[in-house]
Amino acid sequence: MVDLKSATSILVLPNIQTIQKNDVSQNVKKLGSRTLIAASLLLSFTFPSYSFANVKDYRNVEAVEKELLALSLKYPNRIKVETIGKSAGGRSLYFVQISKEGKVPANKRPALFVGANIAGFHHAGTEAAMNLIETLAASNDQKIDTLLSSKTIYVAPLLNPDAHNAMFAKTRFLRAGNETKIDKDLDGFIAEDGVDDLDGNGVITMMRIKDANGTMLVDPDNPRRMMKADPNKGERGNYRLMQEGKDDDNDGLYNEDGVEGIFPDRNFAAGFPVADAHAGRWPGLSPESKAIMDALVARKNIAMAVVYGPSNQLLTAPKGFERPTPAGAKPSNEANRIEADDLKVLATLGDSYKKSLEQAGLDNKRIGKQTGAGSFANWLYFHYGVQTIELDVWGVPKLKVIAKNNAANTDQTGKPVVGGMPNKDAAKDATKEATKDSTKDTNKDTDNEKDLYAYIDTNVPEAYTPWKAITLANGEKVEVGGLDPFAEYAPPAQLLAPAIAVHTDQIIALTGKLAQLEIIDTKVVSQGNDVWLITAVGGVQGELATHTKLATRMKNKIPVRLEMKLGKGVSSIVLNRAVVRERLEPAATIKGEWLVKGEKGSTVDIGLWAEQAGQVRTTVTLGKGN
Amino acid sequence: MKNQHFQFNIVASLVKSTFVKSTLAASVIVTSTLFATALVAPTAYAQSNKAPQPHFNRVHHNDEINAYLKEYAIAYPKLVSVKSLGKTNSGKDMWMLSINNSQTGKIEDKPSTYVDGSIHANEAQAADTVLYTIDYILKNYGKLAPITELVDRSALHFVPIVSPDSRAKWFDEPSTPNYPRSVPWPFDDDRDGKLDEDGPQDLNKDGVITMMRKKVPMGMGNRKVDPSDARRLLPLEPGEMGDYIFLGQEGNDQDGDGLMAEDGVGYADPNRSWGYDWAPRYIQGGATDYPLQLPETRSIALWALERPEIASVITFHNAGRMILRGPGSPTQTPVSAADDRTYDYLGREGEKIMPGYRYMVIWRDLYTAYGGTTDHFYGIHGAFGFTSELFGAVMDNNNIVRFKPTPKVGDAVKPDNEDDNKTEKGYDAIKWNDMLTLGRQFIPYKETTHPQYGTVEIGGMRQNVGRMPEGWMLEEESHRNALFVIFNAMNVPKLKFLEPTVKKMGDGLWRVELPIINEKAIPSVSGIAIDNKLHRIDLATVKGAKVISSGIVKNAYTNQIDLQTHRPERLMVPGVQGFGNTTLFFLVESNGGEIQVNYDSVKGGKLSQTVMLK
Repeated sequence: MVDLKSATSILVLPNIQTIQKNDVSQNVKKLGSRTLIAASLLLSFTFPSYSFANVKDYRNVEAVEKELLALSLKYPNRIKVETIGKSAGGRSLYFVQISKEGKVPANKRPALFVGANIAGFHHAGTEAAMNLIETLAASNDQKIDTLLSSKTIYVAPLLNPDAHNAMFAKTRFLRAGNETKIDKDLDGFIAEDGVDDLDGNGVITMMRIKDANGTMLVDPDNPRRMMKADPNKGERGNYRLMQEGKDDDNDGLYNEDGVEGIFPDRNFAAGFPVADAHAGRWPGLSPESKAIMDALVARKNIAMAVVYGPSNQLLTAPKGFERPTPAGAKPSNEANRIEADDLKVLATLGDSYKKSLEQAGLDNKRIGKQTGAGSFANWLYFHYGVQTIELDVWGVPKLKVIAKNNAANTDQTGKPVVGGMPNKDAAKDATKEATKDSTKDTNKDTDNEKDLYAYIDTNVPEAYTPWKAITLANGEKVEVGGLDPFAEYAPPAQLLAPAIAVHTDQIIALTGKLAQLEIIDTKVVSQGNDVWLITAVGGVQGELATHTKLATRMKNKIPVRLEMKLGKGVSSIVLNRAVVRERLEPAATIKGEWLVKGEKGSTVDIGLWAEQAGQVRTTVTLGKGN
Repeated sequence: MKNQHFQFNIVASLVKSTFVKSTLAASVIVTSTLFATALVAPTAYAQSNKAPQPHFNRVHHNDEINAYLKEYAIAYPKLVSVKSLGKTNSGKDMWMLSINNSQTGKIEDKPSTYVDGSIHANEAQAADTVLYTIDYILKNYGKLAPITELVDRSALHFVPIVSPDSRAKWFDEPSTPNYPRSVPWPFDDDRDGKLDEDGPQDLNKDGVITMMRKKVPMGMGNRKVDPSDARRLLPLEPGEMGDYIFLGQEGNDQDGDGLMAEDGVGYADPNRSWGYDWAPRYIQGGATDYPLQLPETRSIALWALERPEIASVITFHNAGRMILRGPGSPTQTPVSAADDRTYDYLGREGEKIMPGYRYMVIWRDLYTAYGGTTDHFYGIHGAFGFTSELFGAVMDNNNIVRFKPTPKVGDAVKPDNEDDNKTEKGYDAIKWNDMLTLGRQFIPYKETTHPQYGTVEIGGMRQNVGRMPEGWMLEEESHRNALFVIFNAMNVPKLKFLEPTVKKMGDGLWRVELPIINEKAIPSVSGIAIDNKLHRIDLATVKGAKVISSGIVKNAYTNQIDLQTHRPERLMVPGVQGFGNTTLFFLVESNGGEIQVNYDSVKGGKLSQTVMLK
């Protein structure tokens, strides 16, 4: 279970801290009533009954395995499935290669990597990754054929299977940790104080305890919600708030040492949090993080990575990571911010991403979460050195959009589309209101939580469990209730489906944009006496650069190399050196010149390659055309 | 990249431009070392007719050392176990020898010490120092009281060779004092897509990689021959022209890029691969893609996770005669005052055991290095670690072979006073070679034909010169370093209860205050263990009575007690400082009689005390 202490400091985790934030908005009542109108309108339509306990909308680990096996048997020329390791709990970690026959072997073509649900609670990502594999496997589209014969797509659809299956357990809980056994509270016992389903509703929600020394109180505007008392406003707390579960080990802490082991999405070296039991003892200790790093390091043709996880870096630019530098220590020179040039790429890609969302009637105004300390996405960009995008696939839409759109949309379709934008006016309104709102209320967490309650009221009202008094075996009186933690991450299938479709299209489009080297021109000029000056100019096809800007600083990727190889009977007059460039941007060129001696009609080869931007080769004949 | 390494710089600067290479030449390796055993008296614990008798006046090949480890296990079955922690890249075993007297307790119930060597393969004698330490402890168990006590109350773990693949290459293939240094994990140093394709070459097939120089017409060179010794090239003084080019390491251009010996075996530095305060390669040369990616160090790190009782760590390197301690970089949590005191005590005493060695903080006094061994064991295990840099170029510090180095262009100009003469004296490696090895170390320059340079001269120092002593100096240094290990190992926490204070508080209610002291330097819980939440802190429990309340006595005279508000029956104690004390407080329900207080320390062992309630 996700512990409260970490949740307040690590953004990647479920936003439990938002529940503690003080709601200062004066609008909440007004908005609330509008939402209620919208909700009542919606509820009058038939609505597929959705329960979070009903797991049919999501695949568990075993179903994903079965599906991958079936796809690899059905489409052996396109889908190659490999096991790259096992989770701490012994579940296989799969790595899928999607490609078609082509001139260059698949492992030498520019490639895009998609890694899903290393977070553990991001089941939407696994669904999106599976959809990508299924779509590409079965597609008869000529464009896809062409793409897959010149590029490669790698997909790891489920990188944290131990946590993934917690959604399908008898008692569901939002889980990020694998099954490594750790004594989190360092009391000599392992996993002795986890969460408990005290109200027996099959899901771990929240628990509050009356306490005159508490810091939380009931939100007067939304009695379902607990908020942090603000002493500056004369508020005094009267509750303590924690996850549902008793203090099994009687140490005064609740649920601080459950079954969860290392959080693989915190077990990477970029911004690795020291002194965090769930991060692991060192980066790369968890079998999940190690397996995927080994698989990626071995595939030097990967030029871009997409992580399906709780953050969205195309809606909100990633901030990098804070250096884990303790007080009194001096930070290293390691980059912890995205380079400006690489941020520009994200902004450009973000524009077309947002447009696609809009076209599909999905909210593109919401704020994406930041990826957390020691995350996979940060390792991919900051240490592995490729352009990286974490995408959450789906997120709770902005409140205004729901209200506006539902009012406008229900008449036309008779079916609610959350976040849908049927016409431009509504979209404009939403933008305007969102902008206005953000100037008035700077507390974004509060905003997000309002959005979450509005979304739940409209779509999954059963995700709220009313607070209920329970007396524990030791006589302690507690109340259990609050929001289903999955509500924020796992929407019903009919809401997720359009988002997945957009993301599959986006991956295909991104793959098409990867830099692919080309030889633009070659020239042979006679210098007399069988001496020739050979000139070759290379460049990039595609909309992206061959390397990230950061990679030119890290130099952990081989540069672009333009090389000349002498044919039979040809000799080099001076040292035959390769021309190298650390990075070729789409409009840039690379030029090489060589002075050789050889008879007319003999040949030399010109090769242009970079491990992640493909390889081309051409043969130049001396004297041809002269 | 390799030149970043301080050891290399020391050696390079000391031996000047003539500094050279070597081979392990047949003379270095003696094939058989099992000598007659009749001289050694048997002890009660050793079947000493089987005990190996290595000679410590030479460095040993991996095969010899590994064979010895197994022989010690046979000779001392009650004390020694040998196991493989895993495999290297090439499939060789990572051998570890552990000393534990199982009759005095289980390994997990005792404080322990970890010792390793030759994580840098070229630092070959580091493994021999570990071997010497093992040998000295085993041979003196039952004879010297401190050794007997050490072995009986603690466990010791030794990995003599952390980088076996490359250390074997250093012996078996043409090598230099600095090469191969990294594990043979292929790395594309020159970023041309080919791995390890252009390393140094033994061009003249003399079994040694040395140096190359080329005679050129006067005015075409950048060096001149030292007029006092033709084996040495000197940099040009202003106004001079040169007739030699210094070409560096023996090698040719195998990959056609115009560079020589620029992509040899490796380069992943296992001592930049550990899991604490690791930094990527563009910040820390030699780092890999992620921490503990190399099987060698990973196998040790995974083993150590199962041994939280490790409290002391010594790792052997060469060269420079330094007792190095962390932090390796300024990015780490500042060391707590208490931990600093512990380090200072151990390090300063070490300087007395090893004259000429200086106690230094790595990043502050030497250079910044991320991902080193001692930082891993301190930052992740809370153990106090030192790196011993064996050997400095002039171990016989007697001034017979010294000269003042020629100032270089660009050197700061200083007044020529007497102090400068004292401090700036250099060391004449060639003269030392002539006087004390009668020429063994230096291979004279000889002409050879080079594929690119034509006629060149090849010669210089053998591989076992510069970073390690001659055999006749080796044994003393091994002994002093072994005693430094033993000094540290003797200072793992040693906890002891003092007399309790018992007060009757009323019917069936008793107040017990029980002092506990640490008779050694290393605390039972280090400051970093608390800062980084590394392991369970010490735990005190009571048997035979119900605990109503418990805590730590801050001041017994003023009745100041820090109570533990929950779970009083499991009193969590933040350790006992080195040479320090703490006092446990219990309020118990009992009708009188005996109770037992049990104290369980991850790094300080387990002890219990019977307390009479009366």
